[in-house]
Amino acid sequence: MRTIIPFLFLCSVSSAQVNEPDRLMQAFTDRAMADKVARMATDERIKMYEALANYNAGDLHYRNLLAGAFIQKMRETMDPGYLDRASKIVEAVLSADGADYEALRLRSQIELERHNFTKVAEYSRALISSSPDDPWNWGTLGDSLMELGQYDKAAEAYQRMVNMRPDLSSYNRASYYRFVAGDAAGAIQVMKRAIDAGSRSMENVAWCDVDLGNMYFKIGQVSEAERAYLSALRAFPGYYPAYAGLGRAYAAQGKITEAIESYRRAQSAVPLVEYAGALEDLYALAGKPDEARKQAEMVDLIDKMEQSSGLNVNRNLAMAYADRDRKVDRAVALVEGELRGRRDIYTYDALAWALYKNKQYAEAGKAKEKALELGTPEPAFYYHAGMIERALGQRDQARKHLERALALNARFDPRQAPLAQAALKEIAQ
Amino acid sequence: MRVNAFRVAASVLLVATGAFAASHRNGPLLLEDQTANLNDFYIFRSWEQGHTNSVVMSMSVQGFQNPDNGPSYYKFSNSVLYRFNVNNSRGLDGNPDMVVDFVFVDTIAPNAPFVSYLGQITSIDDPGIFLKETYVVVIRNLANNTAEFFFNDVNGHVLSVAPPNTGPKGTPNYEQNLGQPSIFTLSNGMRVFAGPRDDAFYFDSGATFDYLNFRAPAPVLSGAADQGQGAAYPNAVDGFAGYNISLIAVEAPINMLTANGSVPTATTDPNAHIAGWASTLRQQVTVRQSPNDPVQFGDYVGVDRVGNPLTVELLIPLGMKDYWNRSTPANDAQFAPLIGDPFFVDAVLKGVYGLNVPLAPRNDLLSVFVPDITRIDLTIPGIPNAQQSRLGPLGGDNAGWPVGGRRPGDDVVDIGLRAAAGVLVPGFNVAPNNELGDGVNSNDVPLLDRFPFHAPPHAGYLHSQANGTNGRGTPTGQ
Repeated sequence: MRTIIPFLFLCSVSSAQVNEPDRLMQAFTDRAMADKVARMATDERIKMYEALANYNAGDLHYRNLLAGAFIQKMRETMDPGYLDRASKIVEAVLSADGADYEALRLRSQIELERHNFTKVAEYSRALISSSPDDPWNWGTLGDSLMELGQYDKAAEAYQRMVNMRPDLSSYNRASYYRFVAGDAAGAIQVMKRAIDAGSRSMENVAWCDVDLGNMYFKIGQVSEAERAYLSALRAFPGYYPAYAGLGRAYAAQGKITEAIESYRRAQSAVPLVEYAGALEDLYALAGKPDEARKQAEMVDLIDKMEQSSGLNVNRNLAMAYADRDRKVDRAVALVEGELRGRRDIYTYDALAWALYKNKQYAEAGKAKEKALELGTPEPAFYYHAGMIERALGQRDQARKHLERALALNARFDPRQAPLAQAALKEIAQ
Repeated sequence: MRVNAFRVAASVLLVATGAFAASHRNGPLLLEDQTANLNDFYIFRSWEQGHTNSVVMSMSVQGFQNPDNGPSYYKFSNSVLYRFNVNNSRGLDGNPDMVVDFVFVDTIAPNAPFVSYLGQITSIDDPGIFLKETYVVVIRNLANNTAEFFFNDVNGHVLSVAPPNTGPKGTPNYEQNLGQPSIFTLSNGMRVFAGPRDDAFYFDSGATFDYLNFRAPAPVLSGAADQGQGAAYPNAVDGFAGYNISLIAVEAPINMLTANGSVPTATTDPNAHIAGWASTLRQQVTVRQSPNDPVQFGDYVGVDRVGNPLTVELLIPLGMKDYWNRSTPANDAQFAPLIGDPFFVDAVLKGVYGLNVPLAPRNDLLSVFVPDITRIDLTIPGIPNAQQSRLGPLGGDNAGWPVGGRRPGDDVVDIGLRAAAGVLVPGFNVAPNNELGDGVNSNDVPLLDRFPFHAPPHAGYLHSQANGTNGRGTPTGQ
């Protein structure tokens, strides 16, 4: 078994501050244990790396591994506490050795999670100049540029990444770019390839399944979407975004009870504001106004929590308000906050929608142009554009865009799709 | 009141976890590649009756498979090119002259249930096989730039992957019904196999990881502890016992692998020496929409490779790892300085155990590991498992690793330990340098004396990891 053996001959000679048997143990852990570690759940890995980091306090490597495991745990739970723990470790490592490559790579990832996209682009470029052959850095660069709306440069970075190492990570990004750039069919093919490439971390595979499901859903292939979400749940049981996806798919199929059940599962794992918003609509449709009101209160509560933490940047919260015609001025403020550090088409779409709801139609009209720039097959983009155009009296444009939204997926949202249909009917008269 | 209770519950939840900012697409980065992850590469002359003038190459992928991993089981990736590389010219420089590619395709039967295999499976064409994995073999001769494609065997049967061994009820007489029938003869005379097998690698990994806590008398073996196979050495524990791997194997007549198409008989003939390694490749796609279907577009790029069981992979700095994986062994000389002065020798053999070892640079090691390919002398015939020395050339049996290829039974751990201690350097073939070992002297289950030589896979039913090591495992495939 190759992964076990290399240490026998070939452990490198560097890292003089660590005594020799410790250095050997590090080599064991790196390669020798790689397969065993790969089969551990994230919690087990955290425990193991914690033990190793404590035992070899002088060895920064284990601390980096521990930080990486915390980031993975954060991915799985959305609990920002794990991100903070990862960040503290990385800061400590970097204060001990400012050039520690593993820690520098992790720092890009942590800042990405914190939405410091400009910083991530800067860090990634610095790492690329010293290690141009590491696909990781091209990945974080591309990710940050996508969020900054620099799509051409993002495509170049992703292309470098996939050329260096075609695998789940790079295929996933290539696919996402294709979707954003308007090529749903190509995106779906490449995402299937990402899933086939696979990973020992089943959360990563499930992530790609959910991405695939979301793409299918947006182009109206609801039963294919449902299958992709179910396969995410088989790969990584309890995966909350897969439950949310199923909720969307069931709602589109008119299975309101099942949709509520799925969203409740997602919400009980991670109480994201978009889940509360979706549940509010579904409870209203199910004739349960009390339950719907509770979910609306949940949205307000999340807002209060964010305000108390000094956060006034959240386009998802803005959408939750705008979609339900509540606190639309707050919605505008929230997206404008977001726009300061994030200039992608999704933020412009959210801005357009919040401005429209706030009756700032002319500004909304400008923002929706930005959202539509790439021809992304997002039914909501075209719905929002159509509604704004109708308000601006641009009837032909409005009809075209509302038709496009419904052609992509006639049941893209249980509350909004009927409104789109009604608006289209009214224009057609 | 109800509303308030909800509110309290919700705020507790939120306070406990902190606020949830708007999420973004945090695509996976920390990648643990599974399907393209190579474990071992083997190359040896066959000793199977009727096939002794053939060379067998095999590669194991996806190590540490639990035999009971139902209901979907391990499979080969459809997006990976699994490649055998053969170097037969230019003094074995690490550039391929011939490659044999395996490309896998999954077909799911119409109306498939949730499980991939249903009911008792007694043949490779059983209707209970719902997930049918087949493959195409592509042989490329890089010298004259020709390619041959094989979709079927000589009888027109599609090349199919052996099903998993679920146990005595689901897959009775596994080897007879499913294992051997999954060996296919191609029209050019090659034989091929792909499917689950026992991992032939054996190593007391547990003792080694417990801070070199070898089970006495290891790490110095003598007498019965050194000569004895399996049960003769009761203490050591094979950490790989009871696990399966996915194996791809090809058997080729010698004259298909030599540069001049001959069957060399003298070791002085340059054609008598070839080398091989395994690699996995995936296809590039365009990020931007292209007129080509994204799945048809793009070159294949190396994502992993393995030549020797003692690879240089560990030496490669993190930022260069993918560069190394996608380069050919011909470029490995750039890593030579790291190999000529191995840490393990100085720190552990000399430092921890006080052995007298050769000084750097270790040209004896460089000749094996740079480039990272496994060399074989085609004039040395293969001999049956029972007659082999687990120590290969160090045990007077030149048909084994590191100079005569690598066979499934070679004890590469002990050979490696002794070679590191300098036994190939004049003056250092002395005790205890030539007595080092981990104490595991054989695989947990018997290897085969016929293609594909790796033992049949452990059955899911048997809880094989609790089954005994050092030759005491339950023989597989019955």
